[in-house]
Amino acid sequence: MIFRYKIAEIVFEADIRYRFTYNVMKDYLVDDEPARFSIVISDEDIEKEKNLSPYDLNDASYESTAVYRKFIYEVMDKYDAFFFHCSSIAVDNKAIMFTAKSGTGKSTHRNLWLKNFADKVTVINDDKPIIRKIDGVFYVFGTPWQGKENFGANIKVPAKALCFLSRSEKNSIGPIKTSDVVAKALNQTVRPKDPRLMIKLLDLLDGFISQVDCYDLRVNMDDEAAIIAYNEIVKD
Amino acid sequence: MKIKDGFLLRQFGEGSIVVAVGEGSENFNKLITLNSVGAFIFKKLGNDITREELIKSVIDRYDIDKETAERDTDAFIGKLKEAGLLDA
Repeated sequence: MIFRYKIAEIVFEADIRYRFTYNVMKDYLVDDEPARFSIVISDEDIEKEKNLSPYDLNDASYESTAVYRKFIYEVMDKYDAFFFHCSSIAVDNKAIMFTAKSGTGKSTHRNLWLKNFADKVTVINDDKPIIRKIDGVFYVFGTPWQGKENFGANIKVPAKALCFLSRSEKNSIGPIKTSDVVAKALNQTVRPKDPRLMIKLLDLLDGFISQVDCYDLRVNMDDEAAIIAYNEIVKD
Repeated sequence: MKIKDGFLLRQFGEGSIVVAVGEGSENFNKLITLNSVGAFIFKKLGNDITREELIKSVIDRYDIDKETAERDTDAFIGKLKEAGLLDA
């Protein structure tokens, strides 16, 4: 069945086969705005997701990620939007992103912020937000794909800080070199094969990285980890 | 020699990064970061060029002695070959 969705302020239609996908995406349904494009998932698309996935899931789960992949490729060029693998939160309506390889503890660190600054923190998306440039400003948008703990909201928040997270016995936060940032950031997004789209993505990343404050954030699992990060990032 | 098709160089601040696109990305999903000299040589290798021409252009551009230019250029070419980016 065909449903209409709005993600990152972009309206599109998707032909959905599985109830699972419908449920994942239901907070993003709209009915009164015109769709800019349509997404149809073929058996081959599902097969492709299966081959890319490190897990062995059912076809319904792969339909959901296939919709996301198609969405990303559709919007990169026309809407200045890209996918960025991170846990993102809002503090005082400014987005702070924690990125790292899977298994490093993005959600664990996000949880420390929730625990210590509960009244100030909103989770935008715990795994797969969209970053989109609108009138020169980069925003972090919630998406239906919210990670294992399904944490997130359908909101739009201007990007403020990007933290490259790693585990450490002692907590510390400091600046990070631009060249390191680019290489690390490129590993947290989907890289298009189409050279034209790749150039577009590199341009977007360049602008994004220049606009946000980038940090090398080394943390353990104590409350102090979130507190020192908070004090540095949210200082003003 | 020449860089194979399907690799894209992009400058970010003081450094540069090489990513694979198109067919290049089928066998290569790593990223290469380069300093300014590396980026200069990489760009020169965008068109077919001999080792001698390359070394000469490095000497002209960076005003260094022949020995240093040869050593650095050979080391860099070796790395590109190892990574499978060069057509001999």
